[in-house]
Amino acid sequence: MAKNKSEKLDSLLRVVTAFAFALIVLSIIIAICGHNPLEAFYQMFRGAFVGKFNLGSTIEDFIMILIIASGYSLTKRIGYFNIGLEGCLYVGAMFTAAPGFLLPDMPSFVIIPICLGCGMLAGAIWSSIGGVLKSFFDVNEACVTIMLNYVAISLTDYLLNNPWSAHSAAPETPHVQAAAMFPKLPLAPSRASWTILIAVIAWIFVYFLTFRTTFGFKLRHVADNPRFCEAVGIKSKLIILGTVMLSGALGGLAGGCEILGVYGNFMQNFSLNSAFYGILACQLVRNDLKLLPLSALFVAFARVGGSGMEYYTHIPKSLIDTMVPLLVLFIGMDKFFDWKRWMRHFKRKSVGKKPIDTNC
Amino acid sequence: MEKIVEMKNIHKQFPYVKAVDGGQFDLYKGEIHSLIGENGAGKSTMMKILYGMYDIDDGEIIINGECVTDKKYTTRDAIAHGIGMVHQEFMLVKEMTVLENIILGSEPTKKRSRNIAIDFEEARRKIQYYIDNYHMAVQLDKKIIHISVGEMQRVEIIKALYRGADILILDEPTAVLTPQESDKLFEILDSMRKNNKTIVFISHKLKEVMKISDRISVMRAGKYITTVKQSETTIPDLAKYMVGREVFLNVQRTPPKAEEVMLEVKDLYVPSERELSKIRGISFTVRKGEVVGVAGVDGNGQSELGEAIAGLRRVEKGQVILDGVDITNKSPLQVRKEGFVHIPEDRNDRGLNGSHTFADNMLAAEIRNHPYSRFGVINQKKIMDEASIRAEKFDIRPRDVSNIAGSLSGGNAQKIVVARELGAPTKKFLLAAQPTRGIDIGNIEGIRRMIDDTKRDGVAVLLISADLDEILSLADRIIVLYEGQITGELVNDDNIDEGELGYLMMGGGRENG
Repeated sequence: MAKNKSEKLDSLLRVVTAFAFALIVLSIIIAICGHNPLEAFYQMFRGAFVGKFNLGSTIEDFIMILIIASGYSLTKRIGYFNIGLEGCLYVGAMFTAAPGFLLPDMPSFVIIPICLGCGMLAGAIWSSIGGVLKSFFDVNEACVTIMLNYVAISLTDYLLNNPWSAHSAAPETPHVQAAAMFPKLPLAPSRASWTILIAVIAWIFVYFLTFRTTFGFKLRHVADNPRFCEAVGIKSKLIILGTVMLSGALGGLAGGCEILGVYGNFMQNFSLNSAFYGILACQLVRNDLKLLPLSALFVAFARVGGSGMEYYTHIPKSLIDTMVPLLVLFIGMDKFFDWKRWMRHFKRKSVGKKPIDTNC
Repeated sequence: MEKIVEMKNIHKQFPYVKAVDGGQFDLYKGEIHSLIGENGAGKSTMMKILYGMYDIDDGEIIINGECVTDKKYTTRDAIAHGIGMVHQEFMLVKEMTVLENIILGSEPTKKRSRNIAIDFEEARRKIQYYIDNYHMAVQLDKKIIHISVGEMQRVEIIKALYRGADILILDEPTAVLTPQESDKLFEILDSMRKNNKTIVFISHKLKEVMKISDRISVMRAGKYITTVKQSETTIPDLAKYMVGREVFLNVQRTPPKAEEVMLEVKDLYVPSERELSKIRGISFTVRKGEVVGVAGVDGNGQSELGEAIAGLRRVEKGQVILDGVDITNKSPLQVRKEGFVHIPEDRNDRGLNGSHTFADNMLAAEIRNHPYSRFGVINQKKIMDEASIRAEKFDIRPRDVSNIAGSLSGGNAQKIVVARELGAPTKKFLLAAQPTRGIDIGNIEGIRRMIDDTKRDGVAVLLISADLDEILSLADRIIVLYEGQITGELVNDDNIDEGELGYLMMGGGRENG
C-alpha cells in the first residue's frame, strides 16, 4: 500500500538481517554437530540445482508448494488459519485420480479438466466444513481443520483399500488413464511435469483475484474490520466462506497436480506434510503475493537441497529441515532487527542522562 | 501559589504524525487548569506523557521540583508523584463491583492473614471518606455494568483519589454526560479545588471551560499556543486560538420544506444487550428535506435505533418503511439499495477500515457499481479519480487518497466517512449517528454544513446525537429518547426551552414515571 520508500527499504533491511541471523544460527547448529557449514551449504545448493534430476526435483516441489501457498494466502488475508490444506490436498488428490481410472478413455483436453475439476470441487467442499463452522457458528478453525486433516487421510485410506483399491501389493489406487497425465518436463529422470503452468496460473489467479476484483476488495476488507463491512453492505460471512472454499479448491488442485503430474495414481501417505511447507512459504514472505514464487522456490530448495546434501555429505537432512522454521521464526520477529529502534533506545539512554549535570 | 508541575519543550513523534511539537504546560497547586485544542492538537498526548504512558523524544518534566525525565518515567512513577488520570474511555472491569474496581491493584490487606486476605472494611472506610468529602454518590456494591455513565466517571475519579492523587487529569470528561450530570461533575471539581487538589481539564467545549477553569492553555497542531487566565479571555478568543481563525459553530439552518414522508418508523421494538437500551415501541416520521434530531443521554437506545434502521440489528416487532418500501429486517446491502446512507456512530468501528486507503474507504459501499467495477473486475483508476474528486469536495487533508485511513485524526477520518455516504450519487435518507463526536471545531463546522446541504437537496435526515448544541443547530424537529421510549417531541424554533429538553432527557414527561 502507500508506504514510502525509506520504510520499504527498512523492512527489506530487517528481512535481510533476519535471514542472516537464521543462517548464522543454522551454521552454529551444523558446526556443533561436527560438520562444516560452508561445505553443507555448498552441497545443499548442488543438491537442489545442479543436474537434471536435482533441478527437476526442486521444480516438482516448487509446483506443489506454490499452489498450496497461493491457496493459503487467500485465507491468511482474512485471518483464517487454514491448516486444513493438507486434508484438502488428500481429498483433492483422491478425487482427481478417481475419474482418471473410473471413466472410459477420453482425449487429454477432456479428461484433464474433468479430473482437476473434480479434485478442486472435492477440496472446496472439504474446506467448506471449517468455513461454515467458522463464519456461521464462530468455531475456531485451527482445531477443526487440523482434526479434519486426519479424517481426510483416513478417508482416502479407506477408499484406496476398499472400493478403489488397485488390488496390488501396495495400498494404492489403479493408475489413471494415460491421456490424463501431464507431459513431463525435459528433465528426466526427475518427475517434474508441465503442471508448473498450472501452478503459475493458480498464483496469477490468486493475485488477480485479491487485488483486481470486487471479491478481492471485499476479502481484503473483511480481514481488517468485519463490522465495517457489515455497515457498508458487504456480506462478510459469505465472503469468508467463499474464500475458505477457494483456498480448499487450490489445496485440491495441488493434490491433483501431484497425481496427474507426478505419481499417476493415489498412494497411501503420498504427501507427508507437504501442505505444511506451502503454508511456511506463505508465512516466510508475510503473505506478500509478489514474492510468493520466490519464497516457494526457496522452500523447495531447502527441502530438496537438504536431501541432496545428506546424500553427498552424510550431514543428516533433519538439520537442514530446521532451516525453514528458523527463518520463519526470525522473520516473524523482524521488528527485533529494527536497528533504528535500537539506535533510538541507546540514544535516549544517553540523552536522558544529560539533565542530571545541567538543569536538575 | 506554588508551581507543582512544569513540562518544557516536549516533543513526541508517532509513526505518522508529530503529536506534540514543542509542548509546554504548568500547574499551580489548587487550580483547575483547562487544556483545550482541536482533536489531534496533542492535548491528550501531552497529558498521557505527564501520566507516564508515553515516552518523550525530547523535553523535560519537572514534578514537585524534581526532574523526572532523567530516567525512565512510567505510570507507576506518576502515581507515586500523586498524579491520577481519568481517561476518555473508562478503564473499569465491567463484571466487578464498584468497590472492587476502586481497590483493584492496591488492595488493603489484613495483617493477621499475612497480607493475603483483602480487608474490605478498611477499603470501604477509606472510600467513604472521598464519597462524603466530595459528595460523589456511588453504589459500592453494584457491578459496573449496572451503573450509569456518570456514575462510572465518579468511580474513576474516586479510583484516582484512592491511589493518592493530588493532581487529577480528566480527559474530556463531559463528552458522555448530560447537561445535568456535567453540572454535578463541576460541583465535585469545585469542592476538590477547595480541598487544594489540582485539576487538569481537557476539553473542547468552550462554555464549560469558561465556567470551571482558573487558567486555560491552548494547543494547536501539536504546538503550544498560549495560556490565559479565565478572567481575561472570552469564548470567541479561545475559539480563535484553537482554530487559528474565526469560527461559527452554529450553522445557519435551512428552513425545512413540508414535503412527503420519506422514513416511517411504526411501533418499533428492538432488543438490546442492555436493559435500558431496548427500544420499546416508538413511532415517528422523517420528511424529505427535514432533519429530525434524536436527543437523549447516551445508552437510552439511540445506537439500537440506528442499527435497527440500518439493518445491522434485528427488529423484534414493528416496521421501518423507507420511501414506501418495507426495509424491516432487510440486510444492510438491501437497505442501502433503497437509497439509505449512514454515518455510523463509531468511525473506528463501523465507519472506517483503518488499514486501507482513503480511496478504498470512500468507495467501499459502491464498489459493485459501474464504473468502479465491471463483471467483478475493479477499475482502480476510476476509483482513484472519483476518490480524488471527493477528497477535494469534502476537503479531506491530506488530499492524496492513497494514504492509509488509520493515520488520520478524528476530523479528517470522519470526513472520509462523510465523503463515502454523502458522496453517493443516489440517496434518499441519511442516518447520521454522532456525526461530530470527538472531532475538532473546524471540522465540526464543516460536517454540520454538509449535513445541512444534504437536507437542502431534499434528503431526509435522522440525526442521532448526544450533543445538544448539535441537535439545536441542525434539527427542525427534536424527539427525545429515554430508556427506549420517546418522552417528547419538540419543534426547534426560536422559543425552544432547553430546560424542557433536559427534563425530557432525564425521563420527565413519561406517563408512568
